Amino acid sequence: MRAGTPWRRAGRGLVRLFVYLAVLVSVFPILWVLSTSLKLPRDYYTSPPILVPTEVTTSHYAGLFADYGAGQYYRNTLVIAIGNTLLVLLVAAPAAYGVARYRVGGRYFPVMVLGQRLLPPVVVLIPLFLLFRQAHLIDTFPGLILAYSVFNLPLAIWMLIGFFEEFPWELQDQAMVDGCSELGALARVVLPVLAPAMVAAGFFLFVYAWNELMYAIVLSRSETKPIMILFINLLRSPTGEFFGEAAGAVVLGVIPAYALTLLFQRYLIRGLVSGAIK
Amino acid sequence: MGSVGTGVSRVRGSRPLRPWRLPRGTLFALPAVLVGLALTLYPLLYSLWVSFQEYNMMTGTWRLVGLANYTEALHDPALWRSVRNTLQITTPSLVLELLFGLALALALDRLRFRGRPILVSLLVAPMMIPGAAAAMAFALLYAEQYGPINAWLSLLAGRRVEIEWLSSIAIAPYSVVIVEVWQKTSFVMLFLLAGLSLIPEEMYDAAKVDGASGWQTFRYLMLPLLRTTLMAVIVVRLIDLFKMFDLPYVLTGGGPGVATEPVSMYIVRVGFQFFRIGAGAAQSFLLFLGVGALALVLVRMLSTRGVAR
Repeated sequence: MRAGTPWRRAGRGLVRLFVYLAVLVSVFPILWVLSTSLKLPRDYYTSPPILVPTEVTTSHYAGLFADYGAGQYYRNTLVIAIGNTLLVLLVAAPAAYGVARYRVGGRYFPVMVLGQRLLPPVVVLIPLFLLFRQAHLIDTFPGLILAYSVFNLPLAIWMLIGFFEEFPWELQDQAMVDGCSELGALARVVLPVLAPAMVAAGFFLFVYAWNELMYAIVLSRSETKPIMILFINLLRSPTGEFFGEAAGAVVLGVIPAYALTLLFQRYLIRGLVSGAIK
Repeated sequence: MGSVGTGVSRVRGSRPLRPWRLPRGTLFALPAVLVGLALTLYPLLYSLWVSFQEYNMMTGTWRLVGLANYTEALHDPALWRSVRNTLQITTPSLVLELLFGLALALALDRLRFRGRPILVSLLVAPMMIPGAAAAMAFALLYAEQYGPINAWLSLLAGRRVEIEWLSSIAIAPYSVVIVEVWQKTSFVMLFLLAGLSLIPEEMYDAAKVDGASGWQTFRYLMLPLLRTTLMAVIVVRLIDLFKMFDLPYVLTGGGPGVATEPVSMYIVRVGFQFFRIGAGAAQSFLLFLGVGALALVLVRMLSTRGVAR
């Protein structure tokens, strides 16, 4: 089949149109949520629907904080996500170092990490619930911080090994020849170079913990509810009375993770792919 | 599986500097091993034990019932229904994600787009928001009486259209599919873009010199070279789809009835709503076995195809 130039040009135009349409479809629901969160109720149900509100209001956000305790949910989520990120990094970094430098675990290590990936979260959730109940860890921050390590720790180790493998370890050897101890060389030579990578890994752990829903539903109660739970509480209103509040909650729930994403975009693909293989 | 050129390399031959270091390496890994044992392996073994028991909510006591939970699960029509729901949502989701993801990756790779990084970051926006938030966003769009989708359809049709996106048993599973595809197509796209970036430009030039058409170039050059990446992304997406929970939980609550309740959600209901912990544990192990078997079959397919080539 011979493709003439005009045909080819038309084909390319169609492909471009397809890509721009895909961009529109990707972004539109997010814009819609943002706009709904700023709309007065009279703008919810117009025909045709309008994206730009006739009048912008922040009353839904005020209501979320005043009536729904959004601040409390926010605080809870931050405590859990930051706590979990720090704990997991602290435990995962030495392990990744051990694997990268000493090949701890040999070839069984990747198999174990892959096994974790196959493990449906619900399989660990059931026993964790029973154990946490005995240990009085249900509805506590330490409990949720520990529980989120179930899926974040293997992810962290996997990502960090990827970063550590690329490090030129001759630098550390050199420092040790020059009289540094192993840990001294680690702190003075290795960590400064690897710090950005660790921060990027930490960002993924934070986002995963921030976005988690299933463990939150089962292991948190009134004291530690993260923001994803607020979504569910707001959503059961088919009449659309609370469209604004629901949309506002989504915006609040998305902002921190999304801002971090934009900040760490260059690590995006690598992080996702290791996340996928977690 | 890691062979998609992402920088996640396997362990290189870095021998320990001195023999006495070996135990020290173990020492570094110790905290992670302990956490893994305490928070994953021990709970798993505990759960295995629990799966042979029945919990009595009234007395708070356990009773050994052997394999009863497993045999019951295999004969539980509700569990099979949830498996069917999972398949009903997974199959079209995966197919559409692959089609759209491949099309977008090819377009972005082969055509020159102005501001490509911006396009990509807009395209991946859906993937970066939590499943629960995506579900919320679409719940607003799907709203039956006042939602924008039905309003636009009404304008297009010239009469009042009220599609029951979330309350019709026939439609609701596909409403979940739409959100799933909306969210994860860009994941497939990113994976495939990474794969495509590994194909050297000279190969396209060679194909052009040989007079290959666009379709021939795709079919005989790109597709074979993309096969490993494609299989990897299929495995990853399939495993994730089988573990699906957040999206239907928030969007439909599993409803109407149980029409969109996936396996994970049914197990959570058995375990924590009916409080049949033993039965839930047994079912969760069956799910684990199912996902494991699926992954094994797929990886086997991947590696034999690789040998055959």
